[in-house]
Amino acid sequence: MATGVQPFTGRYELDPNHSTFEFAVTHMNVSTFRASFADIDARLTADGDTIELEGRAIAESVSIAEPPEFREHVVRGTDFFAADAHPLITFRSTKVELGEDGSASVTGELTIRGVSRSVAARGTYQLPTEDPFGTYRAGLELRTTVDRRDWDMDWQVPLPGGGDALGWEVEITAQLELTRKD
Amino acid sequence: MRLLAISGSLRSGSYNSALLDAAEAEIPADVEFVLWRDLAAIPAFNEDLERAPPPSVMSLRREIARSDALLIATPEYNRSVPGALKNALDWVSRPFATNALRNKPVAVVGASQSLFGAVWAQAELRKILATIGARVQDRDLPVAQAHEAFTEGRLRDPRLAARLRVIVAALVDSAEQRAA
Repeated sequence: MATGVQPFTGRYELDPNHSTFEFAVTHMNVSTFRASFADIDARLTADGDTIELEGRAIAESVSIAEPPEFREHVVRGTDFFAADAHPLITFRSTKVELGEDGSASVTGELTIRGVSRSVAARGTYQLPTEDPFGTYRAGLELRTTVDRRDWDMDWQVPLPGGGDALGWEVEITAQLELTRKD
Repeated sequence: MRLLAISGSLRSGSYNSALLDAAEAEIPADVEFVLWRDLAAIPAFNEDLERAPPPSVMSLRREIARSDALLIATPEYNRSVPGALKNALDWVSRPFATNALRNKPVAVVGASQSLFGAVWAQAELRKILATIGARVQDRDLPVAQAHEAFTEGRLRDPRLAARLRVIVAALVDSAEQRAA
C-alpha cells in the first residue's frame, strides 16, 4: 500500500447516528446472520504523522432482541458476550496507515469479554469535507475477519448433515462517520 | 465482615475514590467498609528492605490480612495499572507462600475520563492479583467519562450502579463462603 503524509489532522469524534459497527457469521450453514451495535463511540486523533483510532461498543446494545432466550444466551450468556461481567467491547489502534489511493489499514487490540487480541483491518477512507452546516466530516470504513474462538466464544453444535450450526469465522465491519472537533 | 477498599489514584478528587464512595453506598449494613488511604506512603519495592519492611508496608499487609475481601478501584495509565498500585501489590505479594492476598476474594473496578473506563487497567490488575494468588472476580466495571459519571456520591448510570451492586454482593458472598 502506498503511504504518504497522512491526510488527517486534528481530533475527530464519531457521529454515532450515521455510523455502523456490525458483525456477520454463517448460520446453520445456509445463511449469513448480521447484527449491529446501537451504542457505539469512537475517536480519531491525528497528530503529525501519527493517527490513533479508538472505539467502543456497549455489548448490551446489540441488535438481537427476540426471542428473549436468544438475547439472553448471546448477550448475557458466557458462551458469547458475557455482558454482565464485561459490558464493553473496545478497540484501540496500534498502527493506522492511510494510503494516497484512499486505502486504510488499521492494526489494533480488540477486547471482547475481557479478552484482548490483535486484529488487522483493511478498508477505505474519505478525506474531511465540509457539510452544509459548517462541520467537517470524514469517513473510515474497515473490515476484518476473525475466529471467534480467539475470544473464547466456543459455542457450537454439529449439524445432522455435517458442518457447524454457527461459523467460527466472523466478519466485523465498521463504517465510521467522523466529525472534526478542533 | 470487613471489606477493605483501595484506590489506585493518589489525586484528591479522584474519580476512582469517588467510585469507592459509590460502592460504600451499596454495601449491606453488616459489612464494615474500610478505605485504605496510605498508598502514597509505600516506598519503591526493594528486596534489600524485605528483612525489615517499612512500617507502611507492614500496615498494608496487616490491613489486608484482617479484611475478608478487597475492592480495588484503578485508574488507567498508559493502558495499564498505575505504578504506585502495582508497587504496593508487589510488596504485599512477598513472601509468596504466605502473602496476605492468597485466597482473598478481590474485585476490581475502574474509572477514567476516556471512553473506556480503565478497562485495560482492570484486566491487567486482575491478572496481577490472580498471579499473587487472590480469588479474583472475573468482572469489569468500566466507568467511562468519569467526570460526568457521578451524582451525589452515586453512579449516575443506573446500569453501572446495578453492576456495582452485583460486584459488591458477589464479593461479600465469596468472603462469606470462604469464612463458612
